[in-house]
Amino acid sequence: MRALTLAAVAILLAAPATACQVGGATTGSLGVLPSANVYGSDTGGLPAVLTITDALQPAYHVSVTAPSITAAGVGFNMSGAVAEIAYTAIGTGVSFTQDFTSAASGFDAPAFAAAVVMTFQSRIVSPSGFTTGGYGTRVTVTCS
Amino acid sequence: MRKLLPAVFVLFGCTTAAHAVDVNFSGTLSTACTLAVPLTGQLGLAADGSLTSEAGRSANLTVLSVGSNRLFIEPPVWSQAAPTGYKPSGEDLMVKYVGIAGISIPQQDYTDVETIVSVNSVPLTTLSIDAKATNPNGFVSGDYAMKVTVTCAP
Repeated sequence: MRALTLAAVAILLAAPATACQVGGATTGSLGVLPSANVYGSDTGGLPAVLTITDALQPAYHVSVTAPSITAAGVGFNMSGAVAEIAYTAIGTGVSFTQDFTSAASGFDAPAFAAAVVMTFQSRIVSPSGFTTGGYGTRVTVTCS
Repeated sequence: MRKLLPAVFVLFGCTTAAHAVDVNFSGTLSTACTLAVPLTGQLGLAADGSLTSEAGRSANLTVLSVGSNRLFIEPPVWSQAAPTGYKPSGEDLMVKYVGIAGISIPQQDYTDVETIVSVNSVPLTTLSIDAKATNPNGFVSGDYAMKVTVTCAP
C-alpha cells in the first residue's frame, strides 16, 4: 500500500511537463515591394498570428527556427537572398519583441503565462531584386 | 514491490513534449515597373555652341523592374516656349543615357529617335540622362527647357 502511494505522488509531480500547446497559426501574406530589394508582409501584407496556451501553467521556452524561403519566382537569384522574421509575444507576464532576424530566436515564458499571442512579420531581402511569381517563407515555432 | 517504484517515476518524468507549429507567409509578385527622377537635369551652353546638360547637370532616372519590361526613351522636346527671336529651323534635339548603378544598361550615344531598352527583373537601376540641342542659328539669350519622356511597360 505504501508503494502505491509513492507511485501516485510521482505521477502528479511529473505530469505538468507536457503543458504548453502551440495553436494553429494563421498564414501571413507578403505585401508589395517597398524597395527594390525587400518583399515583406510589413508593407501592405498581413501578419501571421498564433496563440500559445499553457493550461497547467509551468514556465516554458518558445523557440522559433531560422526562417527559410519556401517558394520563389522563376529565375529568382537565391544567392545572397535571406528570409527574415520579426515577432512580438504578448501575454500575462510576457512582453517580448524580436526585431527582424535571419537567425533562430526564442524567449522564456514564466509560470502562469497561460496564453501568449505571437504576431509575426516576415520578409525576403534580395540584393538581386525579384522576379515575378509566388514567394513564401516559413518558421517553426516550438514550445517546451 | 520496492523495485517497481523507480521505474514508474522515470516513465512519467521523461514525458516532456515539444509542441511545434509552422508559421507560413506567401505572396505573389506580378510584373511591375516603377520610374522616378531623383535628380533633374540642368542645361548649359557648351563650348561648341550647343545647349546641353553636359554643360550643366545630367538628370538621373531610377528604374525598378519586376518581370520583363521595356524602357521607351523619347528624344527631347521643348517643354516651354523658346525665348523671343529664337529660330528653330535646323535645330536638332537629342538624348543620350548610360546606366550608372544596378545592372548595366547599354550606353546610348546622342540620338534624335526613340530607343527601346529591355529590362528584366532588376534591383534599383539608375540611368544618367543628358539632353542636347544644336542649332546652326545659335541660341538667343533667355530661358530654355527640354524634357525627355521615358516610359516603362511590359
